[in-house]
Amino acid sequence: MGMTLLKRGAESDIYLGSFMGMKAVFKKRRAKRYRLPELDERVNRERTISEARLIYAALISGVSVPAVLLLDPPNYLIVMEYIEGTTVKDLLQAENLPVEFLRELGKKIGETAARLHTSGIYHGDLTTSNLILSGEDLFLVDFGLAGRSNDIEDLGVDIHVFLRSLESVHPKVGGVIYGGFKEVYARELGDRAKEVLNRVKDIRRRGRYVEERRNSASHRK
Amino acid sequence: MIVLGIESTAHTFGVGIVKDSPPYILSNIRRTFIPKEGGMRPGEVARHHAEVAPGVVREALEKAGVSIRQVDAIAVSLGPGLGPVLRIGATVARALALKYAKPLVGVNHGIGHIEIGRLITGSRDPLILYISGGNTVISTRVGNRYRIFGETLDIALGNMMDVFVREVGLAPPYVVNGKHQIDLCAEGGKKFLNLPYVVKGQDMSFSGLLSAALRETKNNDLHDVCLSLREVAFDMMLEATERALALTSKSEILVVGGVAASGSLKEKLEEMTLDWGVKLSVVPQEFAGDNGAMIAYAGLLQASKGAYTELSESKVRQRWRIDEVELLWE
Repeated sequence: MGMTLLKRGAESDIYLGSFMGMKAVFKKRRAKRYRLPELDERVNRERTISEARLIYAALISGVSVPAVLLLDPPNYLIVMEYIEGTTVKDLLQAENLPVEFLRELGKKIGETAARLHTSGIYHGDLTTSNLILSGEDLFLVDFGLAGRSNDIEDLGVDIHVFLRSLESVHPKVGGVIYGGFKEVYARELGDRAKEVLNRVKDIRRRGRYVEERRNSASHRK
Repeated sequence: MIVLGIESTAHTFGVGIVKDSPPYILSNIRRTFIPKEGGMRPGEVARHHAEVAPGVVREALEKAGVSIRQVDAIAVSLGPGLGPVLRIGATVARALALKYAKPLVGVNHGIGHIEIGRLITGSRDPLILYISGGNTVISTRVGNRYRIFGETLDIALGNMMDVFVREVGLAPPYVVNGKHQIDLCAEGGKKFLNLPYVVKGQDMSFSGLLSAALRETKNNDLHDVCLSLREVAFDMMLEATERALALTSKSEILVVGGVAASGSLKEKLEEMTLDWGVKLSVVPQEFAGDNGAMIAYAGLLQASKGAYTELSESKVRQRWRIDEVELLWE
């Protein structure tokens, strides 16, 4: 069985291979040499199991995700369906994309995020590299940092991470995409959307100069 | 062009003098406020800085062998930092600018850390880790801004370690012979304890880790808690860095800020960068902590493009993000 390295990610290597005759992606987490072995084992094992569970949960919530074909926790391995398409990150490298296309793309991302959040799932790494456009369908991949929560903070961090991936990698088109995103996200999530989007503003003001832990509450008002 | 730079954002009052040709840095003098107990109280630190300021300015000029008349501009860090402390530096800078008729250059403290790091290590287009008592930022330059790829969602890494060692009675002093108390304490650690490991995207959260570690001290050996806390905190930082590396595909990492001096962090970074085949540059200790030379140098870059600050505009900004600054230089 031939395997080609598709991508060397931050914590895992992604290979393209075949599984029971199907084109499949093999996601293998790497042991990190800089981590204490106990911590490394714990982090990798927990994330492998949780990732597979959350991919399934996302599917139930109506988000397009790759199907999990095999889960092998001791080897930190997940085998999943290969999605034909282009990452949003690569898509946005093209010059002069029509505004309408960008807005529609933003709306699709907003719908995906809203469905996840409505089901009490946060993605944890909602960047343009983890969104794949396959025909008309937008797939969400890499649930390695995802979790279950209805906490406004966790949902807000998702949006904050997404917004910053737009600003830092695609500063020119980020505004239009985020416009479309907000429109649909707010509509789909309903009352809580306003709370989440307000929290995003709040999160962006944090992380600066907090001279005393005890005072930190006053920085979050 | 010769620029005098004043640093006064936190516990250090520093004055550096730089020029626009080698050896660039002519002098770099600083005095650091060390509390007898507890942490930094802004009023106390401000009084300390106000007392040492004239002496530090004089010493920096003498060491550089230049008179104030030869200086072309006065640079000062206007933020981010503690308000009362920032205002001491700003007041000294305005006074010098007025008395000697020199133009003023307001500098962002974080930009100072980054630019001095680039000057000294020769790093060209790095992924930047800016880690200090008040900041935990992963950044890189995109166009004319330092864009932020990852940062702490609550308290800074250095702040978290400082608060921990203080709460358990190891500090002050926070640093002994160039080593942070947490590193000294961790040397005796054997057992690894489960502590919350929180990375979200490229962002980190340290406040839950701090609370959990403090709680663990009740039932565990302190050395074990120190070791576990440091390992988890640094590993979070490294993982977030790896994520930013994957996202930006940079081939160099530059580490700046006070925590850059940590030996255990450097060891981890060396292993990680070896794995990725990227170059690692760590700013040397003298320029890692807050200092005047970094403010002078960032001021020089700004002044070389004619970007001066009117006295009436020289207000301090306690929460001035690095990504708000437009970079006029290459």
